[in-house]
Amino acid sequence: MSRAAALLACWIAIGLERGFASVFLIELGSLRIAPSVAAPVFVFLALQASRASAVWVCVLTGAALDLTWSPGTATGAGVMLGPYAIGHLLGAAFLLKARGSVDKKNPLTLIVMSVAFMIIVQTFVSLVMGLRSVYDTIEWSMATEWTSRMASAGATGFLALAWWIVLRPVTPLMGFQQPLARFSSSRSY
Amino acid sequence: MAQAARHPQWSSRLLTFVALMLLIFSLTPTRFTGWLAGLGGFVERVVTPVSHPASWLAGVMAGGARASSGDAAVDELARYETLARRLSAENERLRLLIQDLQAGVAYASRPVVPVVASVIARSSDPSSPALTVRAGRSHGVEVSDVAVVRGIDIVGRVERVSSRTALVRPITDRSGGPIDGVVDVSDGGTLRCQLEPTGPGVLSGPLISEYLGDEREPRLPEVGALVRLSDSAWPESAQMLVIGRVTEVVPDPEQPLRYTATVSPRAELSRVAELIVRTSPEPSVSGEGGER
Repeated sequence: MSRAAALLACWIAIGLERGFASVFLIELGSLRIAPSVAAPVFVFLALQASRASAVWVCVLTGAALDLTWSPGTATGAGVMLGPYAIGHLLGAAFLLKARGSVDKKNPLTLIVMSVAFMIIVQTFVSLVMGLRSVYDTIEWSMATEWTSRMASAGATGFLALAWWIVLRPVTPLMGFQQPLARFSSSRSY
Repeated sequence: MAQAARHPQWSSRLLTFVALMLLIFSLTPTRFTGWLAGLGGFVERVVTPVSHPASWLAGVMAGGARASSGDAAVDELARYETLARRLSAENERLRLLIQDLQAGVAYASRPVVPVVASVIARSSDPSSPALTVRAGRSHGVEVSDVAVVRGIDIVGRVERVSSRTALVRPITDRSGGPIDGVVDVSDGGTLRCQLEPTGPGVLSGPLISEYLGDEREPRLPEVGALVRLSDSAWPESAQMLVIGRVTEVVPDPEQPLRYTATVSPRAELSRVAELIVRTSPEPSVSGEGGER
């Protein structure tokens, strides 16, 4: 995989995540369903790249999402690092375990893996924030947040389908090897 | 060969170290992680070339909340009404000021300089509706400045400022805390209300009547009535700006003689594409508009 292409894809994905957040936002009662624009791109890269690249792409993009979150606290906007980064790390571990047994050419793979990735990430984020709300000044309603995030994870599947249509033609430009040939041979990490 | 074997081991150790550090950071209280704001600002600057056009496009797709309510006459009327009420409030303030001055208390009223700021990004997490706008310290923006749309509709307050950007926390954010307002009632008087963000894009809270007569019909605002800011925790220059419209008035289930109002901002705050930050030309010298 071309590192420059992966960085470019992540840069665009995070930018779109922050810019388009309001477009896909659905508010139902107390639920805020916000599918992730960027997660399918991270999942796509993690499914195709070498193990080390997949892990670092997920950790670094998770850290970028942490740093641009700005959760509200009693004393103003907070800054943190960790919940998304570790959530992405756990998500990457799942993807690396699962990718040997999936058909990467099938759009359903990206959809299902994106939803599963988001479930892992958002469950971890909810747990960490729930724990922090015990001793920190963060307002966090565990049940509402977790439900919203699971609904958001499900809705991410729709965006994953859209991303598959976009990413499929540009895959050769990103320097990936033939997907099916790569599974068994490359284990650099 | 040996070098190739060492590389994965080195990478694995680095990853373990990074994961441990991230775990520690993720559990560290926010009061100790303020220094990470600089790093966050750097990430924001890096992704802004993508997020800004995307945010602009999102605003266009949402119909551009900055433009108008769709009815120019209604907007104009609301503007003049705001002006009249502000003059009335100013009158009252001056009357109290005279009292304060007579009592020996100095009080400085500050003018407002509007700074137009486009929304360049939203929070990367759905739990936070905070908006990042392109106007910062170099434009005169300070913490606690008030952001509005259409000139009079409050979006929120500035919570963090860098040299070129600012973070605005909408009034509908649950972490924003209560906000006091006044609303007209049908007989021409006003009621106070203490609103709190309770759901997506809405605030609600009890209506407080100072009238203790023996009337049978309670004095209630009509659905659609404007709720205006009247909160001493907010800058004086923001008083009487519009919080939103009353969408529902219902009896409090626990206290049937009391009523609760639900208020929705007139602009959809999560989809605002451009706003105005009301800055002060001079640094704050009084306690006005302190941080919550």
